Amino acid sequence: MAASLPLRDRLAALPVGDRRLLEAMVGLALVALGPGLVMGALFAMLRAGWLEAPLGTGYTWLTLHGVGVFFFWLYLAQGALLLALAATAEGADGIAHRRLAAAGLGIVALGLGLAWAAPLAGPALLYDASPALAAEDRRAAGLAYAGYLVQAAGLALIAGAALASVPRAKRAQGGVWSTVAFGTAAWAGLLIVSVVAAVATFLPAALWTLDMAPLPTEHTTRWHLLFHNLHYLPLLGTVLVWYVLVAELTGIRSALGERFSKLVFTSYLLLVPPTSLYHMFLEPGLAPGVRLLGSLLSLLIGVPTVAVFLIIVVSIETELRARGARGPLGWLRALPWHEPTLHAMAAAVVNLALGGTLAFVLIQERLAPLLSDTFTVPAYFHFLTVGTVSLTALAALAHLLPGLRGRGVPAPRLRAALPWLLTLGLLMFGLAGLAAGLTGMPRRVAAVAYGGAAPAAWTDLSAVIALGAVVMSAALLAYALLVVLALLGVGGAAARPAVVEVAEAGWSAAALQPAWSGPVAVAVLILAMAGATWLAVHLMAALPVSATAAGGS
Amino acid sequence: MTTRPVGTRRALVLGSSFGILGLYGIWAALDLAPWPWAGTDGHGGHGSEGGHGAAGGHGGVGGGPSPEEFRALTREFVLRYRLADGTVRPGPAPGDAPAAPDPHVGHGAASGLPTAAVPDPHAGHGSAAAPAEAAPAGSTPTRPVPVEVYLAAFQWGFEPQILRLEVGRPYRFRMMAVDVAHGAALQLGPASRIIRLRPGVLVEQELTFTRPGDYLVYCTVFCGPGHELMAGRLLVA
Repeated sequence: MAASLPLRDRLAALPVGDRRLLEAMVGLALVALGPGLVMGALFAMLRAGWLEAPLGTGYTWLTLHGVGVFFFWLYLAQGALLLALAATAEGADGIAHRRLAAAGLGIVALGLGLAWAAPLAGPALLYDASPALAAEDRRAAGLAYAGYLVQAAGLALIAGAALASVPRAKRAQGGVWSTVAFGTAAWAGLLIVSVVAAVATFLPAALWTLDMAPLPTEHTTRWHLLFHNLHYLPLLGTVLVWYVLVAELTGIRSALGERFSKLVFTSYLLLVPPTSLYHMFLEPGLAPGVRLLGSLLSLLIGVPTVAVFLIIVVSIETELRARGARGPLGWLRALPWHEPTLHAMAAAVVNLALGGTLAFVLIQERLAPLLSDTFTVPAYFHFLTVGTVSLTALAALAHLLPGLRGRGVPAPRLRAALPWLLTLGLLMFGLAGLAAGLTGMPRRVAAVAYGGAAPAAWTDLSAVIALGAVVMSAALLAYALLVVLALLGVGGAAARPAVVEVAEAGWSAAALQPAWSGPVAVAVLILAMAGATWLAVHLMAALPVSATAAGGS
Repeated sequence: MTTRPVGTRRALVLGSSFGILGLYGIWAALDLAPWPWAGTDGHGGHGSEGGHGAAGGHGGVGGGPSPEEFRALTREFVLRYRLADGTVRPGPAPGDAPAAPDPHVGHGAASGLPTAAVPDPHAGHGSAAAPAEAAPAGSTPTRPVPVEVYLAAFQWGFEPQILRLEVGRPYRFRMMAVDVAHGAALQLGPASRIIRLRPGVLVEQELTFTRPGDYLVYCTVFCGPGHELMAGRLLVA
């Protein structure tokens, strides 16, 4: 499941140049995250009426939020973790083509500057930067497209350096892929998919701003494909990081074998990219058959993530029961809870279950006219992008820093508490957002009163959403600040992880313990999804209108 | 030789993972999707709520009016039905004949809602009574001709801004975003009906209100700095 030496030791053994590069990447990721979080919280407070700003200002904040967090933080954090895993995979000897990766980082930094300058140079376009909204002033749009394209180029170099690093590990292992090296290669491949999607989306638009091409009428469709990749593909990186950290923290190997894990990682490549159709359910003119196909395909998104969840849970449960854990949840109590990283992973799993439940309501094509474009969408995807992916990435970066810097991240007790505070904020944000979305409150809007014509609940729920946004942003910022302190060398001595003895591969008679928690949890999750769908159908039936399509052109 | 512990067998893990596909069966049970053996007709023939709802399928972008033509049609519609207070109350055009018998009568909408031609036993408002175009007693019930309603979405408003409509009367909404993409969502109390409009694309939906109310129309697609100013009203009585 993992190389024999702890990850921190393997990081510490990397050449100095590799370690400095990884530190720089972590630092730039946090530069994107911090202001992005603040802007998101400000926008939520504006919508709640806690702040006043001139018309349009809120959309500048929302643009800076989306650009900083969704594009640059998520990609840079993935880049840092990807390179770290590629450079330390069993048999690897550091980052191949480090200069290539360093150039990639510099290019991404340039992209961040361009993309952040865009909403300050003209009208805010949000992070999809629709060309139609920029028809009268193309400067801001041009900067945004340049920023995204430059970022894509940099990301391609970083992913390329990671891809070049893992074959060396494979050769050193006698031509056999370790699970981590294999998963890392798949992850890098998915980042390349994102690069292609970004170029396909923004290159025609960039050429339009230069009068070299007509207005790209397919921008919205291409954006949906990119956005889908943006917030689902990081799930592979997340589960791979969980896989590595579980081995790091508990010493437990996969109970199902390395080949099975590789199969699951590969399935992300096969199952996730084709499932993006559901983002377009409300598009005029989409054929009914395509809608149905989109609904069917969308169910596949959950398959590999549930599989990895099961691999990890049944492996831990079986091993800890074999070591003496008793009772239905005794194995959970036996985990090394003194490790702050474990708290982050546990909170991330809770948030994944919540976000997944809501996501599976949204992918039902006949509920799209009820829920799409409402606040239900940010309500669910923040559970995934913030509560699952970002929290895991931040915790993993904090876990890696002692290996890079030789010093631990300060305040471990605070670091253990912050993921739960983040989850509390997300629950406020997500549940209030779900309630608001079910009654139709739109997303991406700076005010919801509509001159008093909107339901009063929208204003009240916006206040809870804002409170949740402030709490989760503060928790994530505090976590990020601890990582920054560690990067600056402020922190305790590097603490050794409390690694328990590594279990042997294969199964002994003593390890024949039943492990039902994972399958039971999945069954409960599916029931929750069904219940949420039933609730949405019930709401739809309560609408005081009947509707049929009458066509159109 | 040892065997794998219960719960760690690969078949069980794979089965549980693919168990998420079982949600499709729940969708089918809720009439949100067809059973695989039912074919597509079973899905679409009941006045579906959303599957066929947003638009489309009747020709491509070039078959309908241009944005300029649609603006002109909307202005003509407003002038024709405008009341003294500035609101717009569309009615049946003179000479509208009853439509052919509705093959869907008796099925109800997929959402369980009544159509206009079928009295709603649950409404309690006497609201679903069909308008006067219904066929004579003893003959096959007919479906009234829907009243055409034009709604143009633009930066940043709707034209007409306030519509007066009748409970139980079917309306054929003809909608278009005439500059950039917009939404024309209807806030209907417990939930909303979200309609996405692409620039220059005619979207038609037939809507029949079953309860009176003052309903908000609002944009759900970001359309520029005045996005939150886009609001209209449907006064249904």
